[in-house]
Order: sequence, then C-alpha cells, then structure tokens
Amino acid sequence: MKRILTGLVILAASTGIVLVGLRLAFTPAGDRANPYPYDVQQFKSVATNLMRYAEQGRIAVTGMALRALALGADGTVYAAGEALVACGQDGRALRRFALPAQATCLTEDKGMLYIGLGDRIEVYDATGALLRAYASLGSNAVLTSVAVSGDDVFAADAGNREVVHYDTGGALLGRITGKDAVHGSAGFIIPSPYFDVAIARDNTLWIVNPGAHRFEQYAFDGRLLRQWQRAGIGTEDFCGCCNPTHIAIMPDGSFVTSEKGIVRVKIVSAAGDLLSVVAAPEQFADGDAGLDLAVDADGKVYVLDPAAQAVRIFAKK
Amino acid sequence: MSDGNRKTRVSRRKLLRGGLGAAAVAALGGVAGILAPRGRTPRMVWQLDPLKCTQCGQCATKCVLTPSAVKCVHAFDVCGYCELCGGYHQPNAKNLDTAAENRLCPTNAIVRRFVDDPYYEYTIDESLCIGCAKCVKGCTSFGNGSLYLQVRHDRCMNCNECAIAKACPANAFSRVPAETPYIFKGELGRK
Repeated sequence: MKRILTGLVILAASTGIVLVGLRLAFTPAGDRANPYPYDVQQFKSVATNLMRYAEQGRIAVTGMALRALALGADGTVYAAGEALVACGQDGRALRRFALPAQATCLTEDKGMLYIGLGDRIEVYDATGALLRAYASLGSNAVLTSVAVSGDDVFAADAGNREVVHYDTGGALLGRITGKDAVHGSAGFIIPSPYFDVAIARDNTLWIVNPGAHRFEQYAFDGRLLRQWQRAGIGTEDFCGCCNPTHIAIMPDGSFVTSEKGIVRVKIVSAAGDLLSVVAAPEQFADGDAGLDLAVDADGKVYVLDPAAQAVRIFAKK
Repeated sequence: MSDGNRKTRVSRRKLLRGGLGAAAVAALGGVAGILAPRGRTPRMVWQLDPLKCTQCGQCATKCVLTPSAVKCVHAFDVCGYCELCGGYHQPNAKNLDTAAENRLCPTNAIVRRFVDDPYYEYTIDESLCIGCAKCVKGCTSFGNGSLYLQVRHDRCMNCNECAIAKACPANAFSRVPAETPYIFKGELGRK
C-alpha cells in the first residue's frame, strides 16, 4: 500500500513537472508588443497650405476595370477599359463601344481616339469606327501611354522600356531608349507597368523615367534636352520604386502628377518644384493605383480613379 | 441446486441471443465498411493569405515559437530589382547602399546583391528572419509587393489553435491542405 502511494505521488509530481514544462515551452511569446513597428501613415499627411484644389465633381464610369483617360477638345471625357465610354461634362454617357482588347492607354487628337491595346495602337473615330491599326510591337510590349502632336505619335512601351515614335499613319519613325553611355544613363527603369509620356506646347516630349524618379525632356528626334529628378519620401518628392505613374501638362507648362504607394496628385513646376497638392492620400482608397490624368484649358484636373470607378474633377479653390 | 441450474440455463440463452445480435451487428458493420467510400480527410496545415495580410507585426510576437514559424519569402518575378527598395531601405535612407543605418530589416535578414546597373537582387536569409513584416510593409506600400509572409512548415508546430491565427486582425490565416501548404504570389501563385 505504501509503495502504491509513493508511486502515485511520484507519478503526480512528474506529470506536474511535464505540464509546467510544456506550458512554459509552448506559451505564446504572446502579448508582447511589436518591437519593430513601421508606421507608413506618417508619410501620408499633407500640409493644409499645400491643398489648393477641391473636388468639383465626379463622373461615374462603372462596369469595367478603368485603365485610361483622355479629354477631347470639346470637353468630352473618355474613359477606357474593356470598352470605351464617352461622357459629357454633366456626366451623361454619350457613347460606349467595345474594344478588341483591354485598353492600356488613350489620347484624343482632332476628334480621333488613339487607343493602346497592350502591344499595338488602334485609331478610332468618335463613333467607334476603326480607322487604322498600327503593327504589333511584339509579345513583350506593354503600351502604357500615347501622345499625339500634329503628325507625330509617341507610345511608351513599358515592356520593352522604350518610347516608340510613329507618324499618324502608323509608320515607325524611331525609338527612344533613354540610354546614354556618355552621361551614364542606363535607360528607362520601369519596375512596374507605369511609364508615361506627354507633349509640351513647345513640341518637346517629356518622358517619365519612373524607376529613377526622373523627368526627361527630349526633342522629337530623340535628343535629350534636359532632365530633373526628385526622389524621397516627402510630399515634394516621388517615393517608392517607381513614381510618378502618370503626368499631364498644365496650360502654364507645369506638371500634374499622380503616384502609387502614397497615392496622391500634385502639381510641380517644369523644373520639378512642388507647387500644390491636388488630392491627398486620404482622398483615395488604400492601394489605389493607375490614376491616369488629363487637364483642360482652364487648368481643371481630371483624375481617373479605378477604385472609385469614376473620373474625379478637381479645380483650384 | 435446482434454482442455480435454472439461472444457468437462462443466462446461456441470453448469452446466445446476445451473441447472435452482436454477430449480426458486426456483420452489418463489416458490410457497411466494405461498401462505404474509402475517402480520407486530408491533413490540413495553417497558412496565411498574403493578399489579406496587413503586415501588423503579430506573426513575430504571437507564434508559440521564437523566432516565429512565419518568415518572409520573395516572389522574384514580381520584384522590380530596384536600386531604391522599399522593403530594404529606410524611408529616409541617406544613401542607397548596404550601410546599417539605411537598412529597414531589424535583423539584417535581407541580402542585397548587385546584378547590373541599376538593378539589385534581394534574397531573404531565413535563419535571420523573425517574421516582423517590416520589409513586407515597405515593399507593399512603396514597391510591387514581391516580399510577403508565409508559415514555413519546416518550423510550424501546426497547433490545433494557432496563436497567430487567433490574433490576426485581417483573418488572413486558414487551414489549407498539407499537399498544397503555401499560398504563393507571382507566377507560382497562378499555377
């Protein structure tokens, strides 16, 4: 009897030791505070004195993933995705026609719509009739921007990291790669499919080199004229891997820019100095990206907001 | 004596009846077992969905293991190979180099290797990674989101009640079949 009791006591004690050991070994490291917090919200605040624009209206464009935006000379707003939608300034849909592939970029010139469809450009009239289809740039091509001036058409190809120069008939005139061994430029750095071009009033081409956070100005023949760079985390800079994602040129020659990561729209001078913020990060959904831009003659800024399924219109306060 | 014999006879009958009943039930069970589908519940393990993850940092602090069974992994086909890497560099890095003051990872678990001007490759040293998600937050916020967290099954104890899953504010944890224990990003995720 005594031996049984001793055995029971030893068994109970060893069970207790094992349980305590297990408890200690497998207690969640547990309600420790995160020793390595990383607050990215702090970078999203914008000084109120920089907020000089207010949202004036929205044009809802639903039923598709929005990819591209353009503004006609008559004020018609064009938004494209799987289809092209034309809307009046009052937001009424005027026309809608299906496209043969997902639109990746868009511009309007003299009533004609130049639509990038991944690897090629197609030209449509305002009713949706196909006028011309340019030759495909190959399976690597990802056209992300198109700009037209007179007889010159420039298409930014993010896949091949070059800007392709056409005439309006679709004949290939040249390619701009941005590579310059003399000045040590490695060409266009495009970590994600955002690569924008715009034509200034002085008939020069501005190309965003997003991976370098750099604006590069070229003559139509491909000569680099000048460049400036703004990389950093502040409001006055372009942050992350690749920004800005989109640009448009204001009537006074300054740029309106949109960014991903810290999603915001701002105005910078032709030399790259921050002038004002059109829309702050808090005005967009987290993770929103692909904010294509357009500007009218009055300096109103049109922002394609894919997450909001709308074209948002901002005007100076 | 006679009473005892009667009792014995009754209990034998009962025994016989019971035995026959039990045999019938066993036979029925055997037939049902043979006819029943031979499906087996697959073994399930914990995993987190990188598209739901909000990089809260609790994978590092809630796991029963120290360091956590959750580690950072890299989808190279999603990476931009950037010189300025949001997952590698401090947001206000003075120089885009490997100096300690410019690095974001608290345990120096990301290795930066020059590939070709101006591209760099970033790999995770899993022996140093603690799953704090700082790099994942930086990469997701400022880059392509190629860095993400996964429960590593060479470490995970597969607890019945996962302490991280219980704490996860994004409900990113779920049980997945052990045959497909990872939720990949990039090309692997599309397969």
